[in-house]
Amino acid sequence: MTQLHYNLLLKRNRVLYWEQIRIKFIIVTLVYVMLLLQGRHQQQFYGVFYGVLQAPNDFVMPIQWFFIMLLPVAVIGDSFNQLVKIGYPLLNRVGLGTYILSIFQIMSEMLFLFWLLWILIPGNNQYYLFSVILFLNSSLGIFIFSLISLFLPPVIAYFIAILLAMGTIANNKLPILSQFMLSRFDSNLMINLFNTIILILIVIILFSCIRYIEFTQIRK
Amino acid sequence: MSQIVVELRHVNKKFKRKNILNNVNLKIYENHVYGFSGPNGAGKTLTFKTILGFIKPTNGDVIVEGKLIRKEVMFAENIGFSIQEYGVLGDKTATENLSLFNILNNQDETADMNIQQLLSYVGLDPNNKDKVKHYSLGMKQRLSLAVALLNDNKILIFDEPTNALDDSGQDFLVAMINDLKLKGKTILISSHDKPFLNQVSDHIFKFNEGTIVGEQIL
Repeated sequence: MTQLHYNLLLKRNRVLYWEQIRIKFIIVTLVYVMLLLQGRHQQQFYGVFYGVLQAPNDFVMPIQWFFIMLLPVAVIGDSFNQLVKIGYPLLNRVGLGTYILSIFQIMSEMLFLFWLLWILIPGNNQYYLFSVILFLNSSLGIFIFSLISLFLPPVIAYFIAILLAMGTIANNKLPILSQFMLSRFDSNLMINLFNTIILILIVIILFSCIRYIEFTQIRK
Repeated sequence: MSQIVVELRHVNKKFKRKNILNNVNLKIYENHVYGFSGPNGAGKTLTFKTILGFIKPTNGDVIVEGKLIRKEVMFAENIGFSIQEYGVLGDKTATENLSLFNILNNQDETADMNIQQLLSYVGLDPNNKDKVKHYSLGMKQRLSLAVALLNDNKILIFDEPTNALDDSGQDFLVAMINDLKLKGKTILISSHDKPFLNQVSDHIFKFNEGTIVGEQIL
């Protein structure tokens, strides 16, 4: 596929994606900005991450972190599933892998916007490396969520995402997932890199399952 | 004797332990028109999706033009199909939508497809600058027929094409199918409208509860 055709595919999928998510996107962006502003007003950067490191017998729910992590997932919802199962069949001469990668790119663009807000509003730019890794891992996280949503009902995919976020809150040293929290961020670059590689491997394994996709909504 | 272009051998599809396709066997010969009749949920659309490769059978083989679908190739090649509105951009005109499908599917911006001619062929005004989202259901149905006819595919699948068409639209559809048959196409059509199917088909498969319960050669 030439660059010209890929760009055309991106343009077409952006329009279809935006049609599906625009209302959710506007609502979620407003909530996201409000949560970040509240965090900034309270305790600057740490307001957003308040409660992420649990002290023994003193559980604090890091509500802002919880929503900030889950809001991009809420925006994506069933849109990836719809864009693949309804949007792809008429373009079945375009490789399915290329088609899915184009949607990944669109989702990453949306996540980049959220990430930029997260950097700009609380002023998180001083944690440069953490911010970049957070963006990378969040992108991989939404790819995993999206690929799972192709094979499981959206409500179950949501449930898994919430469960993982809750697990991350409850356990201070959850491998890979704890990296999504600043206070648990391991300063050892090799460990961080290793965790990111594991996430990439999960994406690759799930991506290899796309040949089993059924282009129908009979599972609902 | 004409060639077999599509064949289903003992095709089963299970979903939640229920057989939604049950031992479907059929042969489709080239340059014939096949009607698929039966109530909602009888398995007509599912059979079409299985032929196209959009559904993987639990058991059995689907062979299109000598290739095993979902085994040798993922999707059937050279089949045009109509699915109303799917993947169509509502904010674009019919011409823009067809051009986009044409360029992306052929991956050749010089592909010579006369979109204007195709729109006229399905009874849409090629000079209409209205966005597709403002089209009536009947116009959307005609646009989906145009999408199926892109790329000059040898095999065509029309799923419930009479839906949303008025009497004149149905007359047009009958004439179009007859013309496509004259051009050597193989056509598979599902419909609830028995008189329509009797009018256009050479052979009718009667579906019920996921299986073929009868055949009629016309």
